[in-house]
Amino acid sequence: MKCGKYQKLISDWLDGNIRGKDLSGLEEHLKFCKTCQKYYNEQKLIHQYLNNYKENYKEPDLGPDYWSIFEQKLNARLEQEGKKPWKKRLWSFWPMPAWATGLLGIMVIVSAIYLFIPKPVGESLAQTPLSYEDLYLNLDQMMAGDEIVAKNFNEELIKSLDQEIKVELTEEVNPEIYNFLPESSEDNSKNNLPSENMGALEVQL
Amino acid sequence: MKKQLFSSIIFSLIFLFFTTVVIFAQENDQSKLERNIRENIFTLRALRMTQALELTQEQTAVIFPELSRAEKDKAGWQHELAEEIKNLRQMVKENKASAEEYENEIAKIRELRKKIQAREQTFEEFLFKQLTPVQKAKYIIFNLDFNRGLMERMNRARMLGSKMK
Repeated sequence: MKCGKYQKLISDWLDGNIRGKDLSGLEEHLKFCKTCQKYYNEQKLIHQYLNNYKENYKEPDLGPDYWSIFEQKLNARLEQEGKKPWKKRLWSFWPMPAWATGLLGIMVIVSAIYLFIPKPVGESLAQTPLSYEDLYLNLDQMMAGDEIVAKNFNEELIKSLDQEIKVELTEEVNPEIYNFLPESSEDNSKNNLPSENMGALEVQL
Repeated sequence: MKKQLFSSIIFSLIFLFFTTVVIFAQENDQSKLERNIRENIFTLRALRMTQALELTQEQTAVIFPELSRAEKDKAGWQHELAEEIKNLRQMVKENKASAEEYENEIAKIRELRKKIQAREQTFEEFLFKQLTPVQKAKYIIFNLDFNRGLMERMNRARMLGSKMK
């Protein structure tokens, strides 16, 4: 038999619940096993301490009316519980399941919000009122079907570009950009505007 | 009699030919104007952006080729989008299209808008990698100011247009 099993028998022995072969076996084992001897001594000490405590224990003086008051309070409480709606009573009987259900419910709601509410794919100016393309779409719709407005708008743009070119793109102020400007462009030659490829060409500066 | 019929057919054909040519030429003019406007806005925007953000030569060398590529993609899609919106207006006006036809048209428009937004976003992400925090801040303000400027130009153009009418 291993020490673990003898140690279980030690508790029974101290309680007086062991006889016969088990007892003789245990006594034989204790003669040579120091671990079990140590365990036996510890258990014996605890046993003695508990026995002393039992012997010296005195019931507190609760007074003559203690139990009658306790009974009255208990009855009143039971009556009160009986008046509560069945749902409340149910939860008061099972407080832990109630908390668990509540927490689970919150988790389900939070997960649902997280999973099902569409999230914007990366916040960016392109998805805000700052979007130039959205504005362009609006402008394009304003010009669609109204050639006069479109022409006027283009003239406004050309005016702005002219000013830009006069100020910034002169040979004196910005010779690199000025020299890079195309001399004649099919669409913009009349206005001396830089072509669409300006950006790509500016790389050469 | 036969001669008269023959000459009237010839006359009708010539008339038809010229009408087609005139209509086509007008449409061509319109789309050319549209293209010019887009190009002019792009040029103005590029110039203003360079000034507003105080881009260095190294930055322009990296940013402008990508800006041009993005512009080409977006300009093509914006043109397609304008065509689809025109079709949609026509469908609503005629009120003859089936639910499926409406859905198809709407899907096309939504798809184009998504493409444009995605391209705009990709460019912006690229741009922001090249800019300093101050330049990023300036870019946001520049965008607002430039867009407002365009709207003001458009309002002037419309006022001028109404005066001319």
